[in-house]
Amino acid sequence: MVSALKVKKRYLHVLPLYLALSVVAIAFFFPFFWMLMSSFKSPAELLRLPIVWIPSHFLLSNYPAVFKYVPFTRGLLNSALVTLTSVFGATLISSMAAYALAKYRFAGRGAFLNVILISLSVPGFVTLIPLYDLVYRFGWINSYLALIIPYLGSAYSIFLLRQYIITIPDSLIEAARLDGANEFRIFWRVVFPLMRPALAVVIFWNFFNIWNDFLWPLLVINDPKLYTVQLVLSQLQGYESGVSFVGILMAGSFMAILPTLTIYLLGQSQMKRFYNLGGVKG
Amino acid sequence: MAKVELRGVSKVFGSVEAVKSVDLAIEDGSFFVILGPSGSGKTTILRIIAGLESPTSGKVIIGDKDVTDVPPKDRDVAMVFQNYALYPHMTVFQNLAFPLESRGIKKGEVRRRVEEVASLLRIEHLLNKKPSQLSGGGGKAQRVALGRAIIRRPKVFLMDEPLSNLDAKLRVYMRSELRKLQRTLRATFVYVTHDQVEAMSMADKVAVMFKGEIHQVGSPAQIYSDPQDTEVASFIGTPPMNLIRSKVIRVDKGEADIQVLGRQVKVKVRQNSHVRDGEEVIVGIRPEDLQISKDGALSGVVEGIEPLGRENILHVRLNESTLNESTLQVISTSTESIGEEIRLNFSCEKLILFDSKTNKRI
Repeated sequence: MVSALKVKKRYLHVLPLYLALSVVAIAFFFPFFWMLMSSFKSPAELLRLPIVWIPSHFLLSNYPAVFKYVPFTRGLLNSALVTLTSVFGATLISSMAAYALAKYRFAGRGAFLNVILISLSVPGFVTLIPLYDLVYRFGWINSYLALIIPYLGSAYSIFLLRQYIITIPDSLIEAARLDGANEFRIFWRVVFPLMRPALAVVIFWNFFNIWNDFLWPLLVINDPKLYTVQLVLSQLQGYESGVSFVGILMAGSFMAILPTLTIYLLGQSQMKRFYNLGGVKG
Repeated sequence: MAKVELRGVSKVFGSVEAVKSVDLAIEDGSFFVILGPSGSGKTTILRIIAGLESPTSGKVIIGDKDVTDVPPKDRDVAMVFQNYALYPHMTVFQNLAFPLESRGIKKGEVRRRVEEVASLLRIEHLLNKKPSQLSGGGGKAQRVALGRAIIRRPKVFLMDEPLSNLDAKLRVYMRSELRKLQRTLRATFVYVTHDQVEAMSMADKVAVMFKGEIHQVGSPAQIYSDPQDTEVASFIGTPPMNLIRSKVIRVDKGEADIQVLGRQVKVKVRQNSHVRDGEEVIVGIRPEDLQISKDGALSGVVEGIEPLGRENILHVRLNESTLNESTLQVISTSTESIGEEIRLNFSCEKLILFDSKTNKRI
């Protein structure tokens, strides 16, 4: 009886927290639910009042229509090329920079770290015009370089990875050094594999940002052949020849988030390790 | 295999002088132990030999080569770390193979040598396990760490308290295993520990360190029976040497008459000692050199007993007054009880004199 009361009391204690978290979860989940349901609705159901939450018939025709009205495949391939190259490059560069900042002693290390920290507090919009100017001067407008190079330097990734690498014991690096490994081999064979949880976070974070970026590609790309999936989807607005694009846009948007979702699911366990542990375990 | 020499090696970290002008000669093929309390600088010396720290001044010589500015990978030394530093994401096989692969040795040869070392250390059954799966006793992680050190047959092995994480029983077993291994390999081992039992039981030679300085280098027997200062005398031995302040009555022909422990005794002094009549000295005597005897000149009361099984350590409060310490530690094999009055005897030859100002042997 006493223990039952104790259990009840404990549940009562956490109930408000669970309620608050549920509200937040619903608020986050709702747009995805709306997008998914809308992608199966007919144009009439999309406009009907009161709102139709779940379509009476799941209409699949919006999905092939995406490919019919816009160059969706091309957009997907462009996004894949830009995102995969940028994520690969950013991960490699950030992890090396982070390793150097975490484990090497060199003149200017503190200043370099401070610059990274300060740059974290500068909003991306502030640097948009100078960055555009730079890309323009390099002659990269309307090229993949304009879409890839600016993503390669990520202060957030460097800082996050550095904080994680600090937790890797120095003795592992020293042991490798005595074992005869050169500095690159120490990084690649010892440190890099131990960074997996932090790398998962960085890879997902960069993938998510680059894949979903709309503004930067809009600024630097005019040629429709180079459009990323987000720019391609932006063409699906309003009506054309009496066809409402809302349902088609929702279908396209749903397909466009699938790669991000897949990456998240693949790296989920490592990311959880990062947030839970924040350190190296054997 | 190679000898190791340190010539005037110092290391300063900020405002702390961790190692103070150390000279050390470690013979080829010997088991050399650097012994000292925490913070004495012994690990810093090991790291300087390894090349993981560069000395602020002085030279490190391995074999006949000055390696002071040579990077660790080119010194041909291997180190076993206190926490073993096994690569957690690699299997035992990969851990053992890593030093060979790093030096570009071919796969077939790597496999052959890994199997050879695994067989020597009896860890063949662990080759596919990860370090996190090596729990369950038997010093498995230590063996793997040792294996990774010996696999590339370095000139010198450096060991930083590798047994400190083991339980007492396993530590005793691993001590003899390590000694056996050193004899099999006929390699130069430099072993750092704060555990005097480990040092005394394994070493060919011991260097005792305090506060960045080497106080004495010698065989375990020399260090124990012939300590060069009071710090070594009180650090080595369990229980430690009794140190009693006393006064010299007269010095004559290499002998000093001193009044100590209820008797006037003659103690030999070194030829170069400058001890004078009336000077204060410190007299050292090992607890086992004090015998309980009915006709002993010294009387005291047993204040505490530490039973060790075969013998007891008695804490005896003296009835006679001394200049400092009035409690002595005595080893006893008989059955005394707390509060019992006992008499003690000792032989003058067992007494050792130290200068009361410098704490050095006189």
